[in-house]
Amino acid sequence: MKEISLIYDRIRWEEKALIQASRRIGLNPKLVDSKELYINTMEDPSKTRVKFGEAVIQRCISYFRGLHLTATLESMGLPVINSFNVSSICGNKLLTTLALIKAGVPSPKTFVAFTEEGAFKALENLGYPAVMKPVVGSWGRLIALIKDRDSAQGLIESRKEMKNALLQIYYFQEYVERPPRDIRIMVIGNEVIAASYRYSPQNDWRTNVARGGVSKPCSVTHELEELALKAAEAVGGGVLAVDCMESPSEILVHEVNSTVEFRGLCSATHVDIAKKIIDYAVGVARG
Amino acid sequence: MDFKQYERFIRKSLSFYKSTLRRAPTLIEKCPECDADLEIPDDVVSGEIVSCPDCGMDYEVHVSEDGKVELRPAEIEGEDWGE
Repeated sequence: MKEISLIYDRIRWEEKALIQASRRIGLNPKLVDSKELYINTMEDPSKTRVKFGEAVIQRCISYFRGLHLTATLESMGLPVINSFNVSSICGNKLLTTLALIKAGVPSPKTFVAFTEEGAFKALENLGYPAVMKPVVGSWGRLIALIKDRDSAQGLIESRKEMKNALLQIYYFQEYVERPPRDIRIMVIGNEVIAASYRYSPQNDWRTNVARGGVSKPCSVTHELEELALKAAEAVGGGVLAVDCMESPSEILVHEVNSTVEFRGLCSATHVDIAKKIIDYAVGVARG
Repeated sequence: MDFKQYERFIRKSLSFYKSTLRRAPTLIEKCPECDADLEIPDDVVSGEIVSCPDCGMDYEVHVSEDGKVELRPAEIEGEDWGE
């Protein structure tokens, strides 16, 4: 029997579901708390593999912690879900957008600027309303709807005050006239597993479940399936959630998530996503 | 059966009934912040978060290799947290 490990920093609903799903098929995953971990980068890789099994499911909530851990374990020859390349693209909205454009996946019009001056020029060209997003960030944090130049001024000035180099990258997207929902499509390997609508809560235009968004089942049409597979492939494939919105003319992909929170999707669709992830991990495990 | 015996019988039945309803938690720890009782479920996985019902403080349950349970203040949400 192959051995896999689950690396985490916090046991959420998803991690528990993964543990239970693997135990149901007689697999007892090694549970590794990343907060207690250290790795000797020059250690004999065969020793590292004894500790982590033949495949690693990396589930850290902290993006940078997970990313660097993935790089380290991959360098020792371990397959990690998701891979370093996929995690680094999906964890950065600009890199994701660039990958989607390159693969010809429809996505919202996006501008990038690197100073306050550039940011205003970008907004003048893109037009209002626009959406400003941090290139690295989750759960809808710091995502702002900019309605006019005055609100842009306030938001960009406050960004300048935040002493974080990544927040000095200004990423703007057109505001897509969409219903008050987006679509989340779960892709595992070459297969679309499930899809849900995520409705934005009252008093918020964002649809993130972490912000109180509510998941409802969504049927996977041929169009959605094709789009999701193309988007997943564009970022390198793996266990991914493709988020898209219904613009008046077509469906646009705005994000691909790499450390997927699938509780909402599970409760909306009753698909055993955890089991599908475990099956996939066993499939990619070293022979 | 006199009244006292009847009362005992009822009490006993009731406590038995209650015990079938509520699975007793394996462990009760004291909240390090406010000293309230914190119930740790018996199927806890090291790394899970429990919240104090009284003061709302979040703790990470840490289970060591010898099965010892310890409560550690949960990590505060970082700016790179999320999916």
